[in-house]
Amino acid sequence: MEWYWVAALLFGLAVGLMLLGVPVAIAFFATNIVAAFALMGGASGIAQVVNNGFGAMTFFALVPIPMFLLMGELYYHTGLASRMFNAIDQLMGNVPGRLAYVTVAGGTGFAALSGSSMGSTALLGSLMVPEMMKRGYSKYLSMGPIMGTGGLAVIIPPSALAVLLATLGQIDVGALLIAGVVPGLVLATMYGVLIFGWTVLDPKAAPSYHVAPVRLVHKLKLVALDILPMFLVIVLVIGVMVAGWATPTEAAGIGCVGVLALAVCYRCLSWGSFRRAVDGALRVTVMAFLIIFGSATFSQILAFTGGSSGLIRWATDFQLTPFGMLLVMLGVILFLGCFMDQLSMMLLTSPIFFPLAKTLGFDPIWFGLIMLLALEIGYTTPPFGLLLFVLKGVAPPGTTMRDIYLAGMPFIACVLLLIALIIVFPPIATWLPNLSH
Amino acid sequence: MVRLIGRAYDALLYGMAWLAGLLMVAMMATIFIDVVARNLGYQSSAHFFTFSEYALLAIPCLGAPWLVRERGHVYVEILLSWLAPARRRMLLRAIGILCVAVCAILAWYGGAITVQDFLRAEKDVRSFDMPRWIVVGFIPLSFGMMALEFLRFTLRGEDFLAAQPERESGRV
Repeated sequence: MEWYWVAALLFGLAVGLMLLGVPVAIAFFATNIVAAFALMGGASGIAQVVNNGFGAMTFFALVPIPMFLLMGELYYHTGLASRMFNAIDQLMGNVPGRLAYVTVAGGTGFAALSGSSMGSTALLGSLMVPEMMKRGYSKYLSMGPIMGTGGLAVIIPPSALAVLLATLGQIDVGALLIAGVVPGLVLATMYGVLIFGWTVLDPKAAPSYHVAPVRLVHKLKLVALDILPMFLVIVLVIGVMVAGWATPTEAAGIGCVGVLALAVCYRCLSWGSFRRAVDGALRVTVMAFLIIFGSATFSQILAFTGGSSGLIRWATDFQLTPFGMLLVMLGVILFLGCFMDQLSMMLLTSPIFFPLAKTLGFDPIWFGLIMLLALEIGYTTPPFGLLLFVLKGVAPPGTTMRDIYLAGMPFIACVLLLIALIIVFPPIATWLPNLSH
Repeated sequence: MVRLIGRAYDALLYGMAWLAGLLMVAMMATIFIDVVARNLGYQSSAHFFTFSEYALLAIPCLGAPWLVRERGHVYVEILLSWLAPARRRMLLRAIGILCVAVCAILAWYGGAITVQDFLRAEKDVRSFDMPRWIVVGFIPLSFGMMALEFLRFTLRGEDFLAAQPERESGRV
């Protein structure tokens, strides 16, 4: 069979089944079964699907996925997240638009520790939106920063999604994780600047209100007790990797123990919170690994039948410049992001995009980070970006989807700007990983 | 009798999910012990590494049937949300049948590989020689029970797709 029929069968069937509403993992399995049966020797091809899945899942580099997820869930369910949040709230003082800044600062911290965009958005949405609406903030300024910081979770390490992308793209997991630090901080700063500009241009969007002054001693105590220890866990995870004491895979387990130790120190670790954390981490781990199970055969069939090489040859035959090809790839991710979750997007695009990026001479870490950012935008792209629906779920009654779409736009623009900056100044992404090597 | 079998099956399903959670915590503990021991100059065990690799297979396999029961699967709801209730029910039934078929096929072939590995006494060679059928056996068990769970929802005419996304936290 010609490569283009193979590609059409694989992508058409997977996307078609997903759009029908078939659970994502099952859609991939069904595609694999049909393709393996048709292209890999009938029944023996299906047996190969099972063997491939076995090989793909027993792969040590995937350990960070359950560990980072467990770490984030522990952080959330033990109440450590709320603790850090309250501290930042008290430290912010009487700045105009303070609650929006609190969202960005607290959200960045939470995003870093949780690695979960959905969790981050749900937490911030339920905590901050009612408070901001009560204080007379515009609905756009109330919801926009939440979607923005929710998306930060995918690039600031530890990020389970970064590990998965690195695994699928066969690039250095540790380097991609570390590469997200600087762009993550740049993005959080851009959000801060955006809010500042917003409140200057439209002061009514964030009416000022009286906040009881906090004494300096109390502020220092808040920093020392409620912010610094949480920050140290992030430093611990990144530090053990950079210092070479643990592999990136192992660093995830260390971070998990770090959060657990913090929860014990703060006496907020109960059996209930621990059970809820394991439950939450298990749900996402199972989902992610089922998709990995399917991914092994999906990319193998693409490669085995010449689909991958055919698609790459076809794409490069257009004789676009590398920059033009990069834009096309970004366009594909942004388009898919309108109606698809990140795992499925990664699985569909990685087998083609990473080899293509290699052909074009891109730095794989630089390209991986740009891809992560594009995936992050996909999370907030109308009409079906998942974060939009999470926010709708926790927003006050009467909030329309249109309100949520509009609120997210300025923050999507910030991410696009960051992608442009990374394209123009690659060291934003590559400097830290190069340093650690 | 039927009720007893149902209870035993439920106990198995939730017991497997518990075991999956326990393995996740055990994985965290073994990694921590391994790293600390190694950096303190003690000899680390390659078995820790192998344990984590097998746990990576066991955790999703043991948790997958429970995830179906909990309506935890991610799906794209564009079409489903636009359909009238009667048509939505029809489509859901068709999706349910597809899910049962897919899981049953993978369970069948997984089972065949497991039996074959057992008969040939195949070994999975890592830090020690593990009989391959023991680890591969998780796959047919998992997909078989997933097929049963999808079948259960489909026969009852229940919606096995949660109104998503509604969870408070935790997604990649």
